[in-house]
Amino acid sequence: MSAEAAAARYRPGDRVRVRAVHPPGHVRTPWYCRGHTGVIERLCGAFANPEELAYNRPGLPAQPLYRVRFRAVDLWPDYREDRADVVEIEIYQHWLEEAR
Amino acid sequence: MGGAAAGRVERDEHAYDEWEQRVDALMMLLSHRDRRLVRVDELRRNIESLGAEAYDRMGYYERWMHSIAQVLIQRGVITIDELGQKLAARESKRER
Amino acid sequence: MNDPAGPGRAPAGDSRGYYRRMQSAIEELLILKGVVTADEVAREVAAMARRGPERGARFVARCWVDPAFKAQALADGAAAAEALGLEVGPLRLVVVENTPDTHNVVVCTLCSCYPRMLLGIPPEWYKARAYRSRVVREPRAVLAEFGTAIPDGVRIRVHDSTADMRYLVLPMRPAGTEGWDEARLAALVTRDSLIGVGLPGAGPQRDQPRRNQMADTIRKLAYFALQAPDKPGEGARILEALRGAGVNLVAFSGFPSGRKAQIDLVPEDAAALKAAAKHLKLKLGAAKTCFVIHGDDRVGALTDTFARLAEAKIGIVASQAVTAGMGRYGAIFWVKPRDANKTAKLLSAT
Repeated sequence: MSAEAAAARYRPGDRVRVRAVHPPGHVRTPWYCRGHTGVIERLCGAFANPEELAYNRPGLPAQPLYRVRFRAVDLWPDYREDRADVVEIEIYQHWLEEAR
Repeated sequence: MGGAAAGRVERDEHAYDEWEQRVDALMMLLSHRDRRLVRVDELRRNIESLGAEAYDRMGYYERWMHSIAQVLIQRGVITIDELGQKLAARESKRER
Repeated sequence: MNDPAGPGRAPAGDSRGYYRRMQSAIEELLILKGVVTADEVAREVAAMARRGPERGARFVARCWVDPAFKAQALADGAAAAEALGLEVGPLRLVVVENTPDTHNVVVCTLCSCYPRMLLGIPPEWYKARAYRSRVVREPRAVLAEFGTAIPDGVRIRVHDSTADMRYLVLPMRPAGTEGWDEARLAALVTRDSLIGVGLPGAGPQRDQPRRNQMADTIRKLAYFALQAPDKPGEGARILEALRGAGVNLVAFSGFPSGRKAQIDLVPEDAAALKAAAKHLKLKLGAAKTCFVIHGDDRVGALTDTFARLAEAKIGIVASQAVTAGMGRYGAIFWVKPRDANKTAKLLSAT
């Protein structure tokens, strides 16, 4: 495990909320999960920041990247399918904050 | 785009034209670690910059081609003038 | 903004083929600057065309018969694929397993990320708005449009691949396949089941339109006929001349015609062939149409195509096909000029 990954703030099972911010530029956090709360499913590792890579900058230091699991019923107020359905999205640490 | 309203999934499966396959191949070669002339993130950023109207109007590989050209210009690998001249040469030879 | 038409639009009245010309222009510039060679581009095109869902299918079949391999696949997909001799590329492969209580579906809502090395080029629908918008929001409704019903009590796990991971669904092994060998099992694994919009076939019947099955590409191409004296060495003479001019052919056909010989040339780049012919003083006939198929070699590879033409009552004027080794085959066929457009539409040729 890289040093950056070892310093990751969140552990599987932690509840996290995705920042409800909408900056311009190349952002890999989908709109539909912003402001929503999910659970860390796993740490995927640490990767260079795509927001910087998009401008051919190195995007270092590598940022921890997590798979975050959201319940479909939490993401969509009118979700009509199975209540156990989930959507899992890879999100960078700087987009996450601890959820109460 | 996730979650936005949209119509039926059109089960489109067409094979791509030669030029489209070459666009794909060019991107693979340019983004390869031996060259790193176009990052996939730069490709995506330039496609996102097209805006919704152009995005929807253009075909998949048209967006890629537009974007690759933009990155090569941004990086200084080619100049707009060079590209313009090569395009002009082809426009004057157009069939049909 | 300089261009009143807006970004990504060619000058008015000039849009058709604009990006095709741009591709040619950019490629020429990059070759002139020594960034790439034409050969590298051609080889990359060929390499990508060789990658198709049969690779993912082999991977799944191995998981089904070998529990240790499956465990490795779930822990480290790339390592497992490499152990099977499958190149995976630089990105990480994550294998997600379907179980009696969980069904997995993969999407990239932000663009079109897809495990290309194991499945080939993604289908158009995977990259289009409808799938990307809706599958995260109403997966069952979308799967129903694919003819796939997920039973009550099975939850759906949608994977939105926004980063460097690429997802491959490991479908459940169909019942009634005990004792089947890997090849037979692999034949059940459809590309759609590896994305999660379909389920593996339970037998000869498939759960998706026929044309999705294999990586057959059918192209409608221009060919040019050349007359030559019917004597030894003519074929070699013409081929050497074209080679010297750097003309790449997709297909070549030669046969006696009256007292002479006719040579049909199907170029990758019609303009390049015409320029070379002019320079070499070869008299080319007018452009005509033919169809070229490239696909994965399998028993009965050509049958589906011929059957569909027969059903539509389109007569095949002439045809040749041959296996190319490395699991691939090629075919060329001609129809009457008046049937060309109908044929192209029927076979979704491009």
